[in-house]
Amino acid sequence: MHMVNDKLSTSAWVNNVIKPEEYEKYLDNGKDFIDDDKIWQQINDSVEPSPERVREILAKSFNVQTLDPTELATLMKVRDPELWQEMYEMAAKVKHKIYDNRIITFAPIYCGNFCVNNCLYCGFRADNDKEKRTKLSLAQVRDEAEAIAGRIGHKRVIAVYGEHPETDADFIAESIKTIYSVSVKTRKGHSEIRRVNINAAPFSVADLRKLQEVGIGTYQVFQETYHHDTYKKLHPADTIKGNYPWRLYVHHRAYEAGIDDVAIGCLFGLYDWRFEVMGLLYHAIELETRFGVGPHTISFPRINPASGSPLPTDPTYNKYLVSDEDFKKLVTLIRLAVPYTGMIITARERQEVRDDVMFCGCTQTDASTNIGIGGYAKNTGKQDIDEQQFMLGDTRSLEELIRDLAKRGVITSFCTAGYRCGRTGDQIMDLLKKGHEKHFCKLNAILTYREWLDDFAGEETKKLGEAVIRKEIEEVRKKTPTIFSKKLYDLTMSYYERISNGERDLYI
Amino acid sequence: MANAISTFDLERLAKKYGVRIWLCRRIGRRWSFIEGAGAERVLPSELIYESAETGVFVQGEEFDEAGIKAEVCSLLQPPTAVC
Repeated sequence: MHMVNDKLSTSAWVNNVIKPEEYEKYLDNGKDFIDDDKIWQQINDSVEPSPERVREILAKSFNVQTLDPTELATLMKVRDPELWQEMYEMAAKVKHKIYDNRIITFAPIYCGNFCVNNCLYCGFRADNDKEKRTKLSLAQVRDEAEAIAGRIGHKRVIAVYGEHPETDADFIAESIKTIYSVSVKTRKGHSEIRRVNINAAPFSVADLRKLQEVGIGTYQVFQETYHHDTYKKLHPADTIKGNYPWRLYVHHRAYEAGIDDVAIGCLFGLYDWRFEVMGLLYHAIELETRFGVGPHTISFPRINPASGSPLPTDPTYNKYLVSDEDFKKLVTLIRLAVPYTGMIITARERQEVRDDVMFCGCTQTDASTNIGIGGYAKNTGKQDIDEQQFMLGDTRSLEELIRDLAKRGVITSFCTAGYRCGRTGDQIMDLLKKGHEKHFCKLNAILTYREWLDDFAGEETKKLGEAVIRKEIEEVRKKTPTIFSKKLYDLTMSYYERISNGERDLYI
Repeated sequence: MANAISTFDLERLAKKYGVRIWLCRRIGRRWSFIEGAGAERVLPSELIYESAETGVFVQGEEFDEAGIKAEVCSLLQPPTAVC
């Protein structure tokens, strides 16, 4: 009887989630901003461009202007490998102009895999009997945060939740407070999670306010696929996720609730990648136009094998799977189309793919990743397909990743400064578009890298890291006082000294 | 939350003291941008006023810190605010 009652209460909860009035007001004559026919027409009508035309569009990206959809469709028609090479290089230059020579790292924390939806590609879907269902208690959430902050040294996490009353907005708010409350003693100082982003269901404005009030970083919701018919096929109509506009307009509701950093993305491999990239651009343009603030980040995961998923991940049976070559192209196109946005490449991808594509404009990545529920505290070092949403392609530790990046002269950043001094919303958009934010990125990368090297690095990593940090400091010194004022340089160096002596969390 | 300080005042202070000045709302450990005035520069952000809900940040090279603090405090009543 108990189970029947639980099912009834879950069913009652499901029926109460969607508030049509919260998205209907944004529709134009009942239609959302993704016009499938128009997107296909733009893709089909574009022709292979001349090198001059390509360079004109690339110049617009380099000036940090969002491309219009026909320009993006034009770039998709490039066939010359040398021109593609120019585009890869320009994507890297655009990223460097806006975010400098740094990669931000984070870890995902999976807090629960209960889910009321039935998405055909997902291991968490309700009908998947193989999945072992669980939810972290708040004490277990604390254990995870302590392992991530204290053993690995991350300062930023993304907490992930299925859509279910067990992990509703109240639970999420409590878990975020728990993560923020953790502080762990380290070799020379202390470590804590300073920014908690979340990947969760599309909530109502009232629920989003609960998340805003506990100080979430970025609120990330992926549309999965922007193609309406495909969306309908993959998300059964009798589920919450079956409602396309409820999901599509969640970032609008987040802005209404006062959340000023939102993130979009889609799952590549569900439909034609060219259409999806156009969908992401339309989404970014819609947010910029309506709220003056585009997406803080864009994600572009490719579909991976998942427990009990009927959707084939074999290219023989799924024509939409994205090859490594096309993946590199689509990442480059996203960087060029939405030049100001952060871009996240995750450990879903194999190491060789990540090492290549990261340099086509990506700004963030994860490492020491464990997507099992409670996986960091258990620390078995193994993946179990029946305990996680999908299988990872790259299981490098944070230290290994930092070492690999250092060998390429790249500094790993643990910066969370922006949202702790109001560089959010309109302000961060302005800084990104003017190319000012990169200077803050550089200084805060130096300060947080120093912390990590002192607290967590082994001897070999420390040696490589010291070379990177010396190079970065020298660049700052050379740009003082033309870019960095004497006052800013002196402050940074005094913080650097204090951090070397064990103080923590000093930022510009 | 209504803006605790007007756009006009932010613009006036930015011009008078030659700074970038912006108003934020405190949410847990983060400060969320509400409104600002003055040109963005690559300078340290200094928190010159904070209450339970609101903060005011300033960026400037050489400026009369005591003067701008006093003006911001007088605008952001009640007088019990911590300056």
